[in-house]
Amino acid sequence: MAQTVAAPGMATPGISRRFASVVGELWKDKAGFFGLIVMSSLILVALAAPLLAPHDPAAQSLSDRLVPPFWLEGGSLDHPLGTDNLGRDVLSRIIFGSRVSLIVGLGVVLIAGTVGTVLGLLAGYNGGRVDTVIMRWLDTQLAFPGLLLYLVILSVVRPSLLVLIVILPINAWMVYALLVRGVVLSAKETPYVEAAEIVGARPRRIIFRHILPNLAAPLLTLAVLEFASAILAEAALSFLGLGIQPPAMSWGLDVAIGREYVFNAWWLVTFPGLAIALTVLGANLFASWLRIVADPHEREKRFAAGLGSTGGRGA
Amino acid sequence: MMRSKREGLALIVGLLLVACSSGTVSTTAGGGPATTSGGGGTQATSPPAESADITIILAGEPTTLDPQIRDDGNERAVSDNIYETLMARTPEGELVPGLASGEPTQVDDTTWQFTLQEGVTFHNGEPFNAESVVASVNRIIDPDFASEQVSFFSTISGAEAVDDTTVNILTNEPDPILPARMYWMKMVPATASADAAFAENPSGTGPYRFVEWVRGDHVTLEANPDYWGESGNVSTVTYRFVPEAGTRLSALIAGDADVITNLQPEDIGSAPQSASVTGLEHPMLIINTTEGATADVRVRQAMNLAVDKQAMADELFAGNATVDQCQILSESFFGFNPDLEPYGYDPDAARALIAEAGAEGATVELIGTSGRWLKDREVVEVVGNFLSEVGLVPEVQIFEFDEYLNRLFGDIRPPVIYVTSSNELLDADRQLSAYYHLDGIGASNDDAELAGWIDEARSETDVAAREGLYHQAVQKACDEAYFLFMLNINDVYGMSERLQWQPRVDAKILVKEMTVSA
Amino acid sequence: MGRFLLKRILQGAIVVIGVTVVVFVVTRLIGDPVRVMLPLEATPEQRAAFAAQLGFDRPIYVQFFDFIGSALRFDFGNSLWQDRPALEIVLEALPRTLLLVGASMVLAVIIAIPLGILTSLRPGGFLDRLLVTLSLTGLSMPNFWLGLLLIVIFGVQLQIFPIFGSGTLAHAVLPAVTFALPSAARLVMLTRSAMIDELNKSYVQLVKAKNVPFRRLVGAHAFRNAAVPVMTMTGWEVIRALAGYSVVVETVFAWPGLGFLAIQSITRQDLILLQAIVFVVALMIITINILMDLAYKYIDPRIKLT
Repeated sequence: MAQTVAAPGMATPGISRRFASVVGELWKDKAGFFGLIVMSSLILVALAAPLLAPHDPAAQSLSDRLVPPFWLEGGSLDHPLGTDNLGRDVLSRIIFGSRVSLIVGLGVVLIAGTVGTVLGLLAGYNGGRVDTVIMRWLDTQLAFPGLLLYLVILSVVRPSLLVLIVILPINAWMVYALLVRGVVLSAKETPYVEAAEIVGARPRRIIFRHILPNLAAPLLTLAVLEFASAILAEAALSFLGLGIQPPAMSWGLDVAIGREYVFNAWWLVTFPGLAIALTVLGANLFASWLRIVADPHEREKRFAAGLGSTGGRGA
Repeated sequence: MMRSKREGLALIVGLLLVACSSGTVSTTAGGGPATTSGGGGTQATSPPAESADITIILAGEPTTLDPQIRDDGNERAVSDNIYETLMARTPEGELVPGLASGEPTQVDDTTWQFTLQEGVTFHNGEPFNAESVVASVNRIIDPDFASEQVSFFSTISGAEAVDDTTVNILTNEPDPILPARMYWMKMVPATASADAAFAENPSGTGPYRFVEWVRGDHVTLEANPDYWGESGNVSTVTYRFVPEAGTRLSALIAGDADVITNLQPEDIGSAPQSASVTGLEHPMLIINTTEGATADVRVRQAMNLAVDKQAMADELFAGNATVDQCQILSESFFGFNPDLEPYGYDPDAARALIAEAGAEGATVELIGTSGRWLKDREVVEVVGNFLSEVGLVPEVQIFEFDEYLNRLFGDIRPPVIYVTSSNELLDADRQLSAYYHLDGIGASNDDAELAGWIDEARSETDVAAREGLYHQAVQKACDEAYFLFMLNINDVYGMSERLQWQPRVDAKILVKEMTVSA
Repeated sequence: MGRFLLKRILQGAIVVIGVTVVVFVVTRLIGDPVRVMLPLEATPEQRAAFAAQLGFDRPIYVQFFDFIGSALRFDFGNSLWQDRPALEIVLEALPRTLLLVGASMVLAVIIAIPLGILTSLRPGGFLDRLLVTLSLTGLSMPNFWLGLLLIVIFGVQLQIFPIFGSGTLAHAVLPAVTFALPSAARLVMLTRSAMIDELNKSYVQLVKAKNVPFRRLVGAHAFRNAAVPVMTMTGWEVIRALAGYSVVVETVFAWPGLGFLAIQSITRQDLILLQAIVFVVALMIITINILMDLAYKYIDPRIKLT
């Protein structure tokens, strides 16, 4: 993925024409379009949760416990997706739960992306000892049993939304650093960067003018994939009881609650899980489309998608 | 094809059975309502089988099969069938002699004398006698042995054999509940228990003897042909371990189990047969009586009035719980005060009391944990909801267990904290010392008078006087609303149709009391 | 070669020590096993006595050096929870996790390699799009959810497979499938990508021009070159599972492997057992990494070990 190097001058044939062609391309790629729809719905739902949710997601009713979805006997449109073990509305909980997923996803991507990009730039551009130190550290950390350590840490630090956003990037920064370093290394060898160095352009200028533009597309793709990973990681940790704690809401947590009721209330497990799967699928599809659009080499394969360590690294 | 044919057959057989029996069996056991129900209802008509092999699924694997080292319910579920104790209990909870041949006598203030059954041997051939009792007592109270059960035997200082079948148990101070303590101490063979491999080769005097333990998979026991007492028709029993309630139920439905523990109340209808019996567990909330809004007795009373305990019992526990009578003791416990009534559900009165105390809008932190006790998190969330309806602002905090224990046992008392109190000795002392007594590890009050009564009762050897002190103590704690009293929850078991078993109030799963129909 | 090994082993030692320090510090400073182990009603004196018995009343640095010393001799002490050597417990659980991962990898390879090759033959075709979308779907499902759905469908409704425990091979089916699905999805993508690259390479074009039958071409030339990424992937999946990703699946299916053990030792605050688990896992990961590097060298002598 690091071989994505296009000459920066190549891609400026009129903003509007370019935009039109991007939309056109997206429309052609139904899967990518679907991904975009899912991603934007997630943001919309999270922002407008109080308007969309039919009930207060925390409102209990002991006499309306485990009401089935509306199409089953006993269900009603008052609770379209039924109620949970305390009589709370499942649909409203899913709507509000989207906020946690969105915040965790964005937070982790921002922190890990910034740290990873900076370290990757340092390593790639400076080379030498800085590169050695960073890469050695990265190699060592890759050999750490990451998730196991998360679990140990989360079992003693009280897990919360903020703690998750801080802890998850401890492992997540590495992919960004690897990607950025790779791109910088190949960009450094292109004639115009070499030329800029020879004429004495300042390093910062070289980075901003010549290297960063090359990074934009692959970084964006990676960020979307990592957004999906973060959502999966949060859901898995919450499911294990080491993530979001009640009474706060999260899809993974709701699946964990529903697990105790799989026999008489299958909807408690099914719908929040479906919400996670859909969101992650949307992000993955969108990322795979981004990648094709951004990368001529990949464009050839037309449909390639997240691979190896960057593809849907879920727990 | 095969499948549907088999199912069809099963359906027809099932219909025939329902047609010739009542379908539901209801029985009552001692301390509270116990019901068994199920579709089969074949108990009345089918004769017992010659012998049968059964499978019991527990919620977790025993940590060890040494019956003296751990405080582990999964270990007890197995060991209770291998080992026996000097005192036993009837299914209704009444204390009766077990390996002792009769009631113990108190020789002096600090000495209890037991006479023993004769002719009993351990599975490995060692005789059961006074020497084994002395060895068992000395082993479990040895500080180097570091038994997690020491808190049950803290008053015992030693034991001495009088003759082969008579033994004296010595205490540091007068201990009226020593007989109840001996109901908890399993008797181990003197020689074998000194061996390091004892935990892997358990040997007791009980109706079942150890066959094998495949770690991570199962434990198997077989009937002891030389058992001195009476036993059912189960010849071998296999224990398996499944932490997920749903998974246990599906195993039961699939016919892979005869008994499963901790059946979710909601799943009773899905089980072939189920039994529910008043258990030992009392979920409740400890209220801080010295600081904050809850220092005002009116606020504490209002909190008790604000929670609809009956609705919680009926809905959240699907009827498998009873409302506590303003004390965290069950009817079967010594010290239970039958004269107390629970606080009713009266949100208007609660609101008025809170207004009177000027506590409207007061923030109350409610601390709970998750996954440790049946519906522990739900109970706290539901209580929070009730409190918010009468003008308080509850702040529900669900902590991971270790952090939760920090709060429960910490010196800084939390405003309100959930706990499920359980009392295997069925005697008030343990619970009152831990939660009512101001020095108790989980107590949030500073009532010296109450503490005085509890101290007095601990060494009061006159039974009536001791009971009177407990009645007085729980009465005061009820009036002062030191706790948010809630429920006594039932132990619910799922059973296969062929099994007949009446669960016990002390939660022991004794295979010798089970019968399998042919 | 010798230098390479030395370097990797040194790096491994750093990792193991690092992991040990992290786990030790985190658990000892904040957790308190005594509180969790004794019954709630135990008195403070009883708790203090119990802590002294286990040596938790000694200064933290004494405990640490004591621990490091015995860990180097593979003597982690007795598990607080099960009261037998922690290493013994870990070594009982390890094969179960390896069996699960092994079974799921076999499953993943059987499913994914043919599909991956199939998709690469006509990139952009209908089959390609379908399989790639399916793979992405597989990657997107949280595996705890997938596991629960499989339990409900195959264990409860159809009653085809046993749904818990580890007695027979049949017990491994559902957890292995749950585990295999995301791996298979990744493997399809990887095989596809590697195959497209290889098929486009000039030597393949050349062979094509020489009229070598297309099937032989795919089988012999291209796939051999794609083997390296596939192997990388397999090793990586094993490492992932050991590093903690087996926790979720093992918890859902009560599969008594390392992950399940880790969660249990965390809830029971069994520091001794937890340390043993993490130590063994770190050691395994390093060993697998080194073995994989050596295997590369063996498969493709052009690869330089650094």
